[in-house]
Amino acid sequence: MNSQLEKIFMKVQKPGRYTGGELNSVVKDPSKVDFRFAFCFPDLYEVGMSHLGMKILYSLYNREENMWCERVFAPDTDMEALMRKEGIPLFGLESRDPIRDFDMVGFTLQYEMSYTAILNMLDLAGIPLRTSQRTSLAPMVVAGGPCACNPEPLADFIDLFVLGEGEEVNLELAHLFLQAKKEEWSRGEYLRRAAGIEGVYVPSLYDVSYKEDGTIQSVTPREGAPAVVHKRIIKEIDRVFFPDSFVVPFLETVHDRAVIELFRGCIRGCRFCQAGFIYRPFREKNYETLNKNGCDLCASTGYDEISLSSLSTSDYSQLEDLLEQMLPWTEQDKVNLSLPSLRIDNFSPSLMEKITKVRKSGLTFAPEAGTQRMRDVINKNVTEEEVLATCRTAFEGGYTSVKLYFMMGLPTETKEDIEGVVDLAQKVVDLFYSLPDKPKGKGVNVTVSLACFVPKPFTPFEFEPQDTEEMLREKQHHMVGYNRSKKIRINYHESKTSFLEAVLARGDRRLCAVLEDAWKNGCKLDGWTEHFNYDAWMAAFEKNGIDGTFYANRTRSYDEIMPWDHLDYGVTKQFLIRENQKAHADVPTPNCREKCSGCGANCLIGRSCF
Amino acid sequence: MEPMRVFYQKTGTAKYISHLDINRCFQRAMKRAGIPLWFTEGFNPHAYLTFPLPLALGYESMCECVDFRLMREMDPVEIVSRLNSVLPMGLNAYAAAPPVYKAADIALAAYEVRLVLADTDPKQAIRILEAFFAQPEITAMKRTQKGEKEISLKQYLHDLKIRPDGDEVLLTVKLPAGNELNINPTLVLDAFGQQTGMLIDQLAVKKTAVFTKDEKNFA
Repeated sequence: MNSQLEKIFMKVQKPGRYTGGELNSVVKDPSKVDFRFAFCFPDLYEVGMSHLGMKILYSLYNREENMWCERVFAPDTDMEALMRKEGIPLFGLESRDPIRDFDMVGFTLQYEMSYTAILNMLDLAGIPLRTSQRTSLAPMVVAGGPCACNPEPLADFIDLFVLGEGEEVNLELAHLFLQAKKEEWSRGEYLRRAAGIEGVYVPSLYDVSYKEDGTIQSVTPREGAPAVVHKRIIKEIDRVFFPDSFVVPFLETVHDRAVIELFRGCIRGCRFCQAGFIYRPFREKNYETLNKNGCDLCASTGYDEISLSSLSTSDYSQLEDLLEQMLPWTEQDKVNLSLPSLRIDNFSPSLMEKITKVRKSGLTFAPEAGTQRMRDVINKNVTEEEVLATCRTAFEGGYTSVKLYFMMGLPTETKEDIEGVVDLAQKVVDLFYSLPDKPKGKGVNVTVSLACFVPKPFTPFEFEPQDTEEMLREKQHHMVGYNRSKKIRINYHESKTSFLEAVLARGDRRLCAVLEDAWKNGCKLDGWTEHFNYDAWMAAFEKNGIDGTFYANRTRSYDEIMPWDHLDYGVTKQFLIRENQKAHADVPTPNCREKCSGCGANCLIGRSCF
Repeated sequence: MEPMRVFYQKTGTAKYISHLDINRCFQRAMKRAGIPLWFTEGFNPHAYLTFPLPLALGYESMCECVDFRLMREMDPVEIVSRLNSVLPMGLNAYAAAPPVYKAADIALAAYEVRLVLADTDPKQAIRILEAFFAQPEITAMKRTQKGEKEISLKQYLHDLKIRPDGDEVLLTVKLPAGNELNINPTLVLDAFGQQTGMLIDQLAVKKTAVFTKDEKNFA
């Protein structure tokens, strides 16, 4: 296969995506390992190599002497065409061996629009698409990641899902697999046993029945599978495994830098944000651990940038301590610190002084909605004064461009809320020109980036309908027409993609057939505008007699059985209902540090969070 | 600020690293190796690396080099050994010294080309190749900044030798290299393919030496 590959490498764009051999990539002797894992990211190399979860699990497996984890990404269309023409099956980058011969093939589910890429990769690998078509123990096809919280649209294709954090449960599954190999279990036997591990969901062990109106009647476990599957979390986050080296890609990837993870979970509870709920409870790492993680990574990779990653960086209680420890050595070694996900309400001048010491780039903030009423509905607890005060700090510190993130199509949204987005952006522009100390000789740029709201499972908005495409488009046009300033640029997302996201995010397993047909119609890199084919998706819905609006645009009652109700992510449904009611009453909820709102996630650590 | 030139080989999988990516790769390697690089001063300080003769993607080389400046003196032997302990597979430093020549002094490069013609045994392939190169005039289309330009190749083929090597044909040649005129073996072989209609099934190119105008080894 190698000489065949060498021939096609010279014929494709960016062969570095497929060759392997990067610094810190792990090559083992296949005859000396008992368990081979293919970590598959269902998108291109540049996207997948930016993903922290892959780096963690890659090192976690490869630290085990008898296990070998390799990386696999979706090939771009030119590479795929040549692989199919030459009959080259999908291979692991490290060994270039076909992944169909591996023990386990694992996909990470980061976004719904990557689902067709999973089917395409299975097909390229020569692995039967459907669970029911696979007969041998290996390869076992597994998946995890945020979208595993409602894995039903993939239920027919994935043998088992890992719910929650993977650092412990992945190795448990690997060890069970080693036992299965030794004792020659059938795959059915392995799956039954795996279902007994906390955090493992085997969809084929559950029967789903439906009511006449199309909603779910019941979900019934079989063969001893648990009625409710609880997600896994790491209780002692400060002691969790963290890699001291990353594979360093040759070609430029989306996020090409060292990353340290400040905490998991989020104290905010913005009602639209799935990550803010499914990663609960809030657990911080110690700043000394983090400083060491960062130091080790820079030494082993040679990166000149470290990202301080979390859902809301300025909520890290030891941020000042951490920066104090990191600044001396990062300054000396000319390493830039990047602090994504800063909040508007606690972005202090002293914090800004610390980050601007290293490098000045654009600032991005997310007010998410244009009016105070709307921000109260979504529980984004920031005020207009705070937005303006932050922008003032930024402008006075020399920044001239600000990017503001907003959502449209939020529950209860009115025309006023849409106009409020532009009004707020205009106030930021006016503020700039009113400042006596504004940066000289430069104009201001305010970019408004508009996303379409997608209701997600395990959020207080899981009951809400998504605006129809027509409604979203009309709102986009209205906003663009309402804007009178040349200093404000409005970017918005394609509403068709958001619609499909909404369908898949809250869909059930009847969508498996649609997914398979969409893939057969040529969909395989839906996250890329140039490859996205809405009509191919619509044809797949039609062929299967399934109406996407049933999933995306319908209000769901509080007592409806959701496709994911047998999965437990810590936050209770009662809490989500309470939060939904408060949203409709325009009442915000204080953040977790101020007051516990009783979401239920602290049961997972068996104590209060703070 | 001590100027320094490191010579390295680029072989195996490393041949797929593009020129742009090699630059980033060396920046990081120098950092890991703790080599005290001189950084540019200004808003965005960065290490300043230059590559006197860029290598085409997919070519191997026994004689690549990279220039940089040091903040303080460091033993060239130390630089080589430190780099080799951190460079990725396929990149191997073998010498370091202050530059003798300037990049502009580069005039020629020697290449070793291994190829297989589709459905043709080596003996036959050599006959076809020899006949092609024996022509009084060989032209090729070369892409330049001003668009495509027809050039006459024959005058530029120095020390051309063709011989069989197992199932392959081994072709060695010296071609103009550097800023003024750079001709790489692919251009020559593309012209061969187009004019003879022969399909090149396998092709591996390796740069083996770089020379100055007076045919001294570039150092």
